[in-house]
Order: sequence, then C-alpha cells, then structure tokens
Amino acid sequence: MKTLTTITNSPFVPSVKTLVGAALLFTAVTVWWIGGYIGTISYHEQLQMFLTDGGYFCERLSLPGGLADYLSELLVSFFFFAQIGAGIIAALVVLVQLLMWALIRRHSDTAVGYALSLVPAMMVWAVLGNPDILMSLPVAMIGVLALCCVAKPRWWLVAVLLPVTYWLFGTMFYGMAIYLALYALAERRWVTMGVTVVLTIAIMVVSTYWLNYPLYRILVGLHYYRYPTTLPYVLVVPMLFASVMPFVAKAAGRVKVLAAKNDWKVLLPALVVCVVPCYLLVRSMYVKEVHDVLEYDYLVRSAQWDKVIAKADKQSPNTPNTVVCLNLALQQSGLLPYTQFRYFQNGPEGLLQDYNKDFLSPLPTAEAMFRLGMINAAQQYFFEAQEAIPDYRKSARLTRRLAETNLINSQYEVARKYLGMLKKTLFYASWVKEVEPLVGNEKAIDAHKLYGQLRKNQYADDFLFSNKEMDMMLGLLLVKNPKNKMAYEYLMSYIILNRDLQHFYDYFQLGKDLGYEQPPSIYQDVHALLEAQKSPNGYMGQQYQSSGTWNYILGTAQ
Amino acid sequence: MWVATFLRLVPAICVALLLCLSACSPKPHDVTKVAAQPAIYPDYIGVTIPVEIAPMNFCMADEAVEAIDVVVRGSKTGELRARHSLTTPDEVAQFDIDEWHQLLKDNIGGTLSFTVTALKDGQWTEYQPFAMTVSPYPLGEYGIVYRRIAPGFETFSNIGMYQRDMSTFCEETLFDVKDVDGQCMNCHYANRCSAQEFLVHVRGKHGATMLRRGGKDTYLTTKTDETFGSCAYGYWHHEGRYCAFSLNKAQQNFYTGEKKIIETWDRMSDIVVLDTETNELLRTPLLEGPDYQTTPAFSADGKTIYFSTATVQNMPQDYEKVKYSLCSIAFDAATGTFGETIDTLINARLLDKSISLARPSYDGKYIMYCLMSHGTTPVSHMDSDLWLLDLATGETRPMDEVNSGEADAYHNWTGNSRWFVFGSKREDHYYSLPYFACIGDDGKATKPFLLPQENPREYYLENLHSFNAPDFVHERVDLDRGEFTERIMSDERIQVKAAALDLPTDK
Repeated sequence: MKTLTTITNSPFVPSVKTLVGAALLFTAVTVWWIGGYIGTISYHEQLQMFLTDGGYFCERLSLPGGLADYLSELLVSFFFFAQIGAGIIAALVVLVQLLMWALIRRHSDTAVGYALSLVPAMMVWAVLGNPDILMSLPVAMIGVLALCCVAKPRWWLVAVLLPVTYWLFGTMFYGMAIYLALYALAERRWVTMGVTVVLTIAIMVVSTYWLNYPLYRILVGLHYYRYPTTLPYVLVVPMLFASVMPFVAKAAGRVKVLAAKNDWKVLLPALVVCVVPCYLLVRSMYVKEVHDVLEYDYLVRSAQWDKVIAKADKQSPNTPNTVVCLNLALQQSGLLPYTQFRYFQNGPEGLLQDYNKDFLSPLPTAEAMFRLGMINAAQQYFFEAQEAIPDYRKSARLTRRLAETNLINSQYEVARKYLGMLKKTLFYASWVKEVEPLVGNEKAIDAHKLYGQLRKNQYADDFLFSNKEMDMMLGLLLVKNPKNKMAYEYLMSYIILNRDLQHFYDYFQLGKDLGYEQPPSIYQDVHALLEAQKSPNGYMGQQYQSSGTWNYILGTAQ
Repeated sequence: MWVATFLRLVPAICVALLLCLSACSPKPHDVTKVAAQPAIYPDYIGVTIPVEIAPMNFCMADEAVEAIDVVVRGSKTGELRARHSLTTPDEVAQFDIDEWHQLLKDNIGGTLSFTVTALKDGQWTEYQPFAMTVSPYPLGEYGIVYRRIAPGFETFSNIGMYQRDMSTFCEETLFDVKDVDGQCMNCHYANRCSAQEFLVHVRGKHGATMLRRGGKDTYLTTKTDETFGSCAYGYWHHEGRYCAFSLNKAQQNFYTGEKKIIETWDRMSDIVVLDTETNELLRTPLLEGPDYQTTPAFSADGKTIYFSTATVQNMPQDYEKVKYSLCSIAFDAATGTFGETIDTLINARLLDKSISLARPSYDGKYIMYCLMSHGTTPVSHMDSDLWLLDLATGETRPMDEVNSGEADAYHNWTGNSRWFVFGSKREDHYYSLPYFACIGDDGKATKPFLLPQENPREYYLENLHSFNAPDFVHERVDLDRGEFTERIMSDERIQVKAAALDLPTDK
C-alpha cells in the first residue's frame, strides 16, 4: 500500500503552493476576461450550436481532433452565461499549467521548473486573444498533456498512444510526439525514438491521403481555428513550448544555482523571467478594437442599452457596425432624437447597414430590422450571417432568431424545425418550451407581447425590399402602423443622416401622435437650421451653430 | 492503406456491435383497433415505389408516439416485420435492407400492405392497413446526384455535390466546398443520367467548368470576350458532342411579406451550344437577342432545342410582367447549326403565366416544365407547379397528382422515362427536398414519395440544406476528389472560343 508521503510526492498531486499558484492564475485570467472581454465570450458562444444527441457526437468524432472539438463546443455552450465562460477559460489555462507542472516534475522538480510550467499556460491565455482561435486548442492541449503525463518512452506504448491521441485531439499530438522523442532520446531508447518519428510521419501521410482537406489544414489542425482558409501558425506555438519545457527544466536543473526545489530566492526571479514576458505577450495579443466590436455586439444581443451608451460615452464608436449598435441603443433608450449627434455619425449606414457577406457585421442591423418590423429583411440578414460562419457551424443565437421570424411570418413548419434543433441544446431548450405552444397558434402569437407587436409593425403588402430606398421602406412601416415610434425615429434620423431635408416637415408631421411633449431637440435643430438657411446671419443661426446636428448636416463635424 | 480501410470500417463495426446488443423493444399487447389508417411521416400511404428503392422507413406523424410495430405483407408473397435495436429507435419503423429488397422483388407489380400498431400513453393502437404499390417499371438507375445548399440568398456556406444510392441509405460526397477552397459550385448536368458524361461548374477565383467525356476530364473557362458570362444552366445533346447552355446575369431582391421570400431574375440571358470536340461556343442571333433566353434542353431526338424566353422589362420594378414562353429552335447536330426560326410551343403571356425548366422525357413523349405567375426561378416561387406537355397530342396539363401548394421544380427523368425526381418545398416552405413519382402509360403520375432515409424524422428535422437540381445517374460517379481539387486549384484551363455570330441580313 502506498504511503501518504508517496502519494503527495506524486507529480500528479499538487502541493498547497501549487494550488495557491493555480488559484492566483485562475483569478487573474477570470478577472481579465470578465473585465474586458465579455463580448468575446459571447462571440464564441453565438458561433456554434452544440447538440446533445448521439449523432452530433459521432459526427464530431468522425474526424481527427473530434473529441477536443466536441468537448470544446460543450464547454463553450456554457459561455451562454458570460461570467461562467470567463471561469471556464481560466480553468482551461490553469489545467494546462497544472498538467505542465506535473509533466515537468517527472523530469525536474525544481522552482525553475515550476516557473517554466507557467509559460505554455500563459501562451494559451495569450493566443486566446485572437477571438477566432477556438477553445478546442486548450482542450486539445490538456488532453495531450494529460496523456503525456502517463506516457513512457516504450515503443509499444507510443504505437498505441500516438494514433489515439491524434484521433482524439488532432494535430496537437505533435506535442506528444516531440515530448516522447526527446524523452526517448534522453533515455537512449533508439527504437522508441524511431517508432515515434516514423509513426508521426505515417499518421500525417495517411491523413493526407484519407481526409479530403488541404495539406496545410491537416498539418495545423482542423478544429483549432474558425477560418478554414487561413491558419495562423501561432496555433502550434504553445504546444511546441509545452513539449520541450520538461527538458528545458531538466537542463536548467543541472545548473547548480537553478537546482533548488523550494527556494524563494530562485523561484521569484524565475517567475519574473517567465511571467513578465508572457504577460507582455498576453497584452499584445488582445487587440482592443477587435474586442470592442464584439462587446458592442454582445451588449446589443443582451439588450443592455445603457451599457452601450456608457461605452460610447467613454469613446464614441467609429466603425459602421458599432455606430449601428449605438444608434439602436439610443433609440431603445428613447434618446435617438435627442443625443444622436453627440456621437460620431457615418451617414445612413450607421442606422441600417447594407448586407455584407459576414457573420458579425449584419447582426446589429438585423436586430434593428427585427425590432422595426422588417421581419423578412431581418430574416435574410440572420440567415445569411449564419451561413457565413466560416467553419460552417450553425449558430444557436441566430437559429433562435430565425425561429422567431418564422413564427411571426406564420411559417410554422420551418419554425418547428428550428425549435426542434434548439430543443437539443443545453441553454435554449427552456426558451423553446416557452414558445412551442405558439407554433400554429395564430391567436397566441397575436397576443404575444413582442411577436404580436411585430406582426402589427410588419409590412402589409408583399413587395420587393429596397435597401437603396430606406426612407420609403421606413415610411411604409409607418403607414402600416402609425404608432411605430421606432420606425418614425429611424425615418427622421435617416433623412437627417442623408442630409435630405426636402421632406423634413412632411415626415416630421407623422410624429405628432407619438407622445412627444415637445419636438425632440434634434428635430428642433433641423428646424432651426432650415430657418437659419433662410437668413444665415440671424439670431437662430448663431444659437445653434455649435449643435452636433448642424455640424453633421453642414459637414463641419469634427 | 490498411489503416485507412480499418478506420473506414470503424463505424460499421460499432453498428454491428450495437446490433448484436439488440434492445428489448416493446411488443404490442392489449391492442385497440381503430378504423382509420395511421398518419405517418413521411406520407408513404398509397405511393408507388420502384423495386430498387431503399427501405421506406417511417414513423408516426404524432411525435408523442413512443413505439411502433409494423408488419408488411406482400400481395404475392412474403412478410416482413420492422426491426428494432439500440441503433433504431422504437418510434421508427425500420426494415432490414436485404429482406426489404427480397420482398419487393417477390411482389413486383403487386402491393405491400403495412399494418401499423403504435404505442402512445401506454396504449397500443392498431390501424387499418395501408398499401404501397411495387411498380412493374424499374427505376433502372444507381441513384441520384444533387447539390446540397442552404436555401440562402448570397452566402453559400458548406455547399457540396453528393450522390445517393437509391437502393441503400448511402450518401457520398462527390466534392464539397472545402475541396474547392471555399468557392461556390453549380449543379451537375449529366447526359441522360450518364456517370461518364457530365459537367459541373465551380465559381469564383478558381472557377472552371469540369467536363467529363470519353473517360477524360477537361477543365474549361467558358467566359469569352464575345459572351457576357460563363455557361450556367446546361443540357446535353444525347450524342454527347454538344451541350446547350444559358448564360445568365442574375440578380435577386427580397420580399417584405410573409409568404414570398426572394425574387431572382435575369438582368441578361442568352443561349449558346458548346461543341465539346472543338471547345467552341456555337451561337445564333436568334438566341442572343435583347430578350431573355434561358434553361435550354435538347429534344429526345436531338433535333430541337427547347427553351424559355421573355421580353425585357424594366427591372426590378416590373418583375411581375416577366412572362417566359416555351419556345424551340431547330438544331442540326451533323453541322452544328441552328434553325432560322423560333417556334412558340406555349405562349405564356396569353396564359399570363411564366414557363421555366423544360425537361423532355428521353422517350420523346413529353415535356415536363414549371409554370408560375412570373419569372424564371421556380424554386423561389411558391406557386410553381409541374406541368406536362404531351408531344403527340399537344395537350398540356398541370400535374395535380404531384403538385403542392409550395414550389415544385427542378425535375429530371430516369433513363427509361418512367420515373422522375423533383424538388419540392411542400415540407416546410423553405427547404427543397427530393420527391419521386412514376408516369403510367396513361400519362398520369403516381403519388410522389420523399427520398427514404434510415431515420427520416431525425434526418429531415436536422437537415438544413435544400436538395438542389437532383438528377438520376446510371451508376456511381467515380470522381477522385484529390485530383479534382488539384486540377481546380491549378488554374490550368482550356479557354473556350466563341464562334462568330452571323447576323441576319435583315437586321
């Protein structure tokens, strides 16, 4: 029977110090993600639809790396709750570190080894700054490192482990191959080393022949990156470091001053040397502008309008996509006709963008169209955005929206199809239960707070939608439902953004029964401008000269 | 090699193991009999099936049914019971593939009677039997080839070309989007169901028309300086030398209302004939006028090209005024020349309708076509119906026996002209699925049936693709995906030439 000491000395049992280190790392990564990258967590979640049925599991497992892909999707499903998502990412980073430390301890149980164990983990933290690097990367690393921890340089074990690891975790198995080859080299096991090298090459050759994927994808991995046509080679860096780190630690351990096990005088400088460059790497990999766009999208998705405005107050959005988010938030908060021109405006595209073949940029416009009552146009945007997801996955978020547009359109069979799929997800199933009774029930939909209202807003006639005549499209929404305040405010905003004020007063009149106590300030500005243009040097002109609305219309905005 | 073979066998081995562990499926007891026939999904009640067809597995339309027991009795001989195992849910009636085929062979020209007993809320109910007829006419084909595409508008996602063995549930990828670097692809056009003579288009950066003929694959660039676009809708002359194409510059707009989704229309469209021996586009001013000309098809004897044509309108405002008539022009395959006049077979303007996708049967008896209110893309018109023109009598009629309230389009014949496949959106208004029906000697079609699947409800519920332009194929198409990818990515193409356009002297 093993004694307690033997067990606690095992490389797989973390010491208290290791646990404290892991807790610190977990906290740092969690705070990092919650503090600035909640939108990125949501972005990951909305670009997949993880189904809980066996067919989905088998489909994933039919390709190398399938288990990592499946587990990654399972974990990312929990990103539905963004804060939990941050915790999961932190847990993945910590697991990489703990496994790395366990692996290093097999070869060199030193303070320097512990510091080195942080390097691959922090590299994972860094590369996840690219929002299109998928969680299957850390999951695969964890799987490979866990198997490395039990692997020994025996040729028969290598012959079993390498193909299994490849199939379950994909090309991250390189890490195991390098580790085992170096391990065998260190122990002068030439047969094992030969088997490792030959088998690795053989696996790749067979894959190239058997899988219908371009060579570069097979070499870098099928499931680690969202875009199949381009693959950043940074993907392989953390695993490469992980595979050689035990031997770096071992080499370092041979240097007398670095061989200490529990010496703070060695540990602290080692931590500084390892952690500081890694932290700088982390900071450099998270590009603020990229994550800002994702945060705007998340805030719109979760209808956190006040947070959108607060974010814009700190720094006015300046990309077409983020301006759409801001204007939608302003309208939903009742501020569009009052404060819109306090922020940068890029023209009518800042209200409703033309469709771009993209999976992100159409979403804010689609959300605005959906709320306006342009149900078919919104459906087109949602559908196309889903189809544009580069790795051809479906999106639970967008499928839910498609189910809703089809419910509103009384297309119950296709709505039932989408609901049937969502029913197999972890976190949309409860919503499906809520809306399933609506399928086929016209009266219930008419009485539904949101869908009933959208039906009232929806166009009465079937005609061809025209993005080029958006004022007409918005006007027709008002014709259908004169109480559609959002359509009115978007219409007014559209003509102002378009600097097309010929019919300003005609359109302005449409809002008289929409509950404004007095004309909104932006409309007053426009009125004043039109009056001032009649007598440019008059009193009114001077009063409004600093108005954002004037500056925009006159083209003098900074 | 053995590793790859072994890995390919892994799923089959797993299934075999699971089958060995056959589950104890519930057996009917205390059965209540009702006088009605069961409502099943897919609706296979009363359909006529070819002897080669894969098992017509089905389930109850009522999703609350927990288990189903089905006994099939042949009118001539034989009996078969639906099986259940760990891989076959209790609520799906699945039939052993070998026993199924034997039963069909034994009952050609007869009927199969299905007795269904279903379990719901703890109660077994036996329904009145329903029948399927085993046609005396075989399908005579290996299967179908189709493009699977999300029914979107501008983004094509994970589009792919597939073939499906009609005797089994085996679907095979011919090639898909990842083989062609994320590019779009157009439909597959075969010469009368041939697996040896066909073509496919790939669009985009590495665009090409891959043409297989005489055991050789040729990669063509069909856009020329003289023509405004690449070849699109195609149809082979049965002798194999010529292929008629329309050149289409298409555009699309979206509807605002609840029912219609999209309007796809041609800004320009002409018709040319590709000579596959000289790689030359044969042209005539009669098919390159200002009017729209599209969806050509050679007659069974190869002496005529049928096509749809409409006068140009102010688009997109007047999209509802675009009415395509069914016309024809003579073609001499010996000289590669066109006739000098265009004949109108059906003047759609008089009907205030529009005709598209004329598909002559290979025996020369009929032309099947789509008729709709306006426009040229029937798959996006929910009022598109299949019509049949009897070439002997000139009589034309709607095929009410197969049509639905949704778009019915993209039809193609089997080599023996007894069966046809078409795409229909009847299931859910959105996704076009392949249906099959048989034409009798009286010209009447049988009730169409949906392509069988092993677990049809699960398959079609989770299917997010339209089966676009399905066509029959005599034998399995043998396409080396690796080589195809290599050739597509190589950009080595044969540039097609456009023949001179001889303008008539009176113009």
